[in-house]
Amino acid sequence: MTSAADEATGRPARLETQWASARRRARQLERLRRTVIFLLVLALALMFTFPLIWMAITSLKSIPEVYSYPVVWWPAVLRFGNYPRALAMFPFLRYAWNTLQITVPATIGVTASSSVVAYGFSRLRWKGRDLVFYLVLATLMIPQWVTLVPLFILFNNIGWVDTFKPLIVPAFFGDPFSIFLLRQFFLRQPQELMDAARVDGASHVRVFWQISLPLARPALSVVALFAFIYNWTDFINPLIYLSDEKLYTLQLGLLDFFGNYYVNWPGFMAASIVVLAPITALFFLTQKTFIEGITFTGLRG
Amino acid sequence: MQGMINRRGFLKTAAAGAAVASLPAGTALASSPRATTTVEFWNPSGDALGGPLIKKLVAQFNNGIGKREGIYIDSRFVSTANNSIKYTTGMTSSNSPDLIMTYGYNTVLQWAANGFLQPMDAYLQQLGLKESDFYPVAWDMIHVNGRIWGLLQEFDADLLFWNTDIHKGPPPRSIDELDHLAAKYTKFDSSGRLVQAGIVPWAQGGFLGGGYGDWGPIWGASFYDEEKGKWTINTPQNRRFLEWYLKYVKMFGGRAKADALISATPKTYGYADIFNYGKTAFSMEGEWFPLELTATTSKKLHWAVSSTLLSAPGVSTRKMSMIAGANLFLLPARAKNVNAAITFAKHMVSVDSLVTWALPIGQFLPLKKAETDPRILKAQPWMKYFNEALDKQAFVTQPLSPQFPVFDQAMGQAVDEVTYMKKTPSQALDGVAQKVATAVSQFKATHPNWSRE
Amino acid sequence: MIGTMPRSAASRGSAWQRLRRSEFPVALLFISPWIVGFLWFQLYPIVGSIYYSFTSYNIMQPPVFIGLSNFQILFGQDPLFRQALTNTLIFTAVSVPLNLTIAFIFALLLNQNIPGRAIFRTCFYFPSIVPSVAMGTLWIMLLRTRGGLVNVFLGFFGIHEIAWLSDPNWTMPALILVGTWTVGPTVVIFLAGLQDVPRVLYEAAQIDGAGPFHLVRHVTLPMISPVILFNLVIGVINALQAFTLPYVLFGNGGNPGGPLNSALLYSVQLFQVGFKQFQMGYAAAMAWILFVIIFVLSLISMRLSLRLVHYE
Repeated sequence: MTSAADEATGRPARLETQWASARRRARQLERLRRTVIFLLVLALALMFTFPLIWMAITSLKSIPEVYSYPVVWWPAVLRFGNYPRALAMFPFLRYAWNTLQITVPATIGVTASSSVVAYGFSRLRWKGRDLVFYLVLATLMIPQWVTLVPLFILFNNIGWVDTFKPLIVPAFFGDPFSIFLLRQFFLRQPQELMDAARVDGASHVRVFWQISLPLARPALSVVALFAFIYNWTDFINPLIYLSDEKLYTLQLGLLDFFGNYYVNWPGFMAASIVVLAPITALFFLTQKTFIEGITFTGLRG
Repeated sequence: MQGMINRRGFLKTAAAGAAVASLPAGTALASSPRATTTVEFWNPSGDALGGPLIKKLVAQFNNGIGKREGIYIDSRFVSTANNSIKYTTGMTSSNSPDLIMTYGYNTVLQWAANGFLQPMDAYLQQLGLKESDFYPVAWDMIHVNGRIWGLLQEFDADLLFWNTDIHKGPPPRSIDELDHLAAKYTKFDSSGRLVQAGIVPWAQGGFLGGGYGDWGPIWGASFYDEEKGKWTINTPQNRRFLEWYLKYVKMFGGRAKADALISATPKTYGYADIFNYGKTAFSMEGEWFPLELTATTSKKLHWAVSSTLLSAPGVSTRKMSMIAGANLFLLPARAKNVNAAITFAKHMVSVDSLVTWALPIGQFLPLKKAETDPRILKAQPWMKYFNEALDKQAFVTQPLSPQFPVFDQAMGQAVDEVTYMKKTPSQALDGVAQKVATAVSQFKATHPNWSRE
Repeated sequence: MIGTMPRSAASRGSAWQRLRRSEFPVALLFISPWIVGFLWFQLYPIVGSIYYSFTSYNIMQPPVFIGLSNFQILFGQDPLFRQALTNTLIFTAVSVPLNLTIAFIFALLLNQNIPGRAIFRTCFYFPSIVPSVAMGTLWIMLLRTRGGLVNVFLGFFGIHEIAWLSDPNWTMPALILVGTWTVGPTVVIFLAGLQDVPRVLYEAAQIDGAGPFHLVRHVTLPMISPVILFNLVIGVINALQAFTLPYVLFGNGGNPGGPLNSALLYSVQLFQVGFKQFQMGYAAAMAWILFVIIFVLSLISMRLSLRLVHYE
């Protein structure tokens, strides 16, 4: 049975209503689904972050409150004074500057060198290319303990111990993980683009510099971010190579804090949070680029 | 952050300490315009009490003798946590420090045997020291395998302390008395949890893990023959303290109960202070304990100590503890400015410097003159008992072997194995003996110049 | 072709020829940084360390050649080696699949269109940038038998007083538990992989009537299988070398292997042998054995991949 309205729209009215209510139901279900997932994620995120929230709460406690039983959930007095006191106990600014002096050049080094090397393994064709690349990957499997002591002796012999050099210079020679990521990315760049430029007489260096590299910005930012985080949080290498306390990085500085006899737990937690803050902010601000970048590198294949 | 967190605590003095500690460690409080030789001195004194003391002593030197002799001390802080890597890599590098100070004795002989240190025999005269200046046990610690390997600044040993709120009478004089009293003071709550113990021997037997440092000597154990330089680990006598541990495991109804009690108590030194917080009646504690106590507990503990040497059934000697902690000054093998370093070391182990160090902290000093200085007894009346015990030869050295770290780790495991009822004392000690024997054979194959195991 | 005029047939021919010729010399230029780095920072130390594994070496004095002695002792007389190896293999076998699963589920959840995704992602990634010392001390507090928050939480479910750090039966679960906390990077990589899956596939399957589980099993999993493989291999490599976590949890004022050495992991034992007992040759031998294990396990994972991983 049709009505005039039906004739106008060309669809039976009842069907229209049915579809409308079906759509409404679907929307409601969808909203329900999203709410459930949201709550689930919220719960998990809370569980995950709770240790860190606890860390923050601990940093505001007084020392006896830290270990008392029953548990002190909220300090009697919020001792914000713990923060400046903690920061006064170790040369925070100097250590932060040292860490930057290492991290920034190292990040630049890794990004620059890995992209150059990755290009060589991806956009250029030569015999044995993939074999050598597997060698690069294989080096990831070598435990750091294998190279730790001989490397130390090597650096010792050329007088680089107690300087920042062992922590920065190796970065300029490529890092397997970054090379891998960037190579994946370069492989996916359209071949036609390269070919066109090459046919026009461009050398590979120009193609790299003017075409591949700019296109690779998302992947480069991933590599840079990973490198930054790695260098910022590295502690074994600074531990081995830096003796002079004036050269210590933040991670080492925290370690000192902790290694003393009488540990000021709230102070230590406060210092840790301060050390954590810059990197967290960095990650939060750049995470979209981060994830997109990894997507674009296409870990498949 | 390794097993070397020494239980010697340092007071957290108020703002003064914190303020001084906030100075970067390299800051010289003296200026030496005429300094010709710079001595690089590494020390672990970043803590709130030791830190300022070292700075003060260094400044004293820089302003006094240093100025006169053209020596400047560059004092650098390396935390105890970083010791094993830092000191090792440092001493092998071309930039080796000239003098190092340690908060601990464990690695000294290893370093010595492996050529990280140079002996100081040649400098004894320059240092103005001779054997008779030292307490015998202190001398034995630095004079090993025929050479002097370092200078002790202080050393630590334990005596029996008790909580006078829980135990009101005189201290026990024998193990049997101790057992009897401990049983009396062991209390459980309605759900069967241990809430108070007489003593938890394996956790309250000194700084060395497993308590073998105190209870071993008390029970007449001898793990190492110092005369012959050989390990004597799995003997019936050595098993006795482990068998005694089992008595307490039974008393608690399993080791886990004691662990729970420990876990519920605040930790200030990386392990729980059940005695400090009034959870046990007795404890073996060191001479630093009373001053450590004041700063760290929220409730006041009423304690007492005596120089009574516990007697154990069937043991003829009366020993109370191994010397497990010590601060030393060591001379790295690759030090460049040896003479200047020795001049500085002389200052650091002079009677005045030693007393300056010990006054706020409470320590055994290796030199008789320093230890009996009236200033110390005035500030720390309990040292009277410790000195009495020292005179009664109540303290023994730990096994003076480069294999000691292996032994120490293995003994810790052995105590766990026994108290968790996984092995019998004999089996456990056998495991220790085997590990040590392997280490010894590896060592002997490549260290022909060291005649002891 | 980008804005070029068509060239004569002859020049086009030679241009294509130029493209096809092996580009080795140029390639060499590009990869030269890595080659130099490899020779200097990898090959030389690797060769050195292989040599050290046949010696007794304490850094201060020249290495003393002792042949296969290190390996003989390791396999014959060193109970700690065996225990560390067993513990590490168990740790890897449990924590890697567990972390992969957790990370995958988190990534699935975070891939949904819910508000505040950026914040949630930061929450999950955050733990992996906490300084390791801080993380260790934090977890020591959280895992206390009486008063630790983990046990307080479990107490709500009626589970009482697990001695995570002092009961030899519970130390390995403690390690694995703390290990799950740092799945952040794995989640991020899974997320990237998930976002790469073409929507079309989902829609097509949904039209065919597939429910959510079906979707995951037959669309998502195959499509991200390369990512799973990647995370698996990296996960195994990292788990076998785990050092900081156990060392910080147990190495404080006691035996870094935990009670009865129940939490002694391979790298911790290696560290002890090398830096506490100054037996660098022995430690080098241990390091090489570890490499062999890593290599074998990675190879196995890759072989598995040939059968299970779906490539475009």
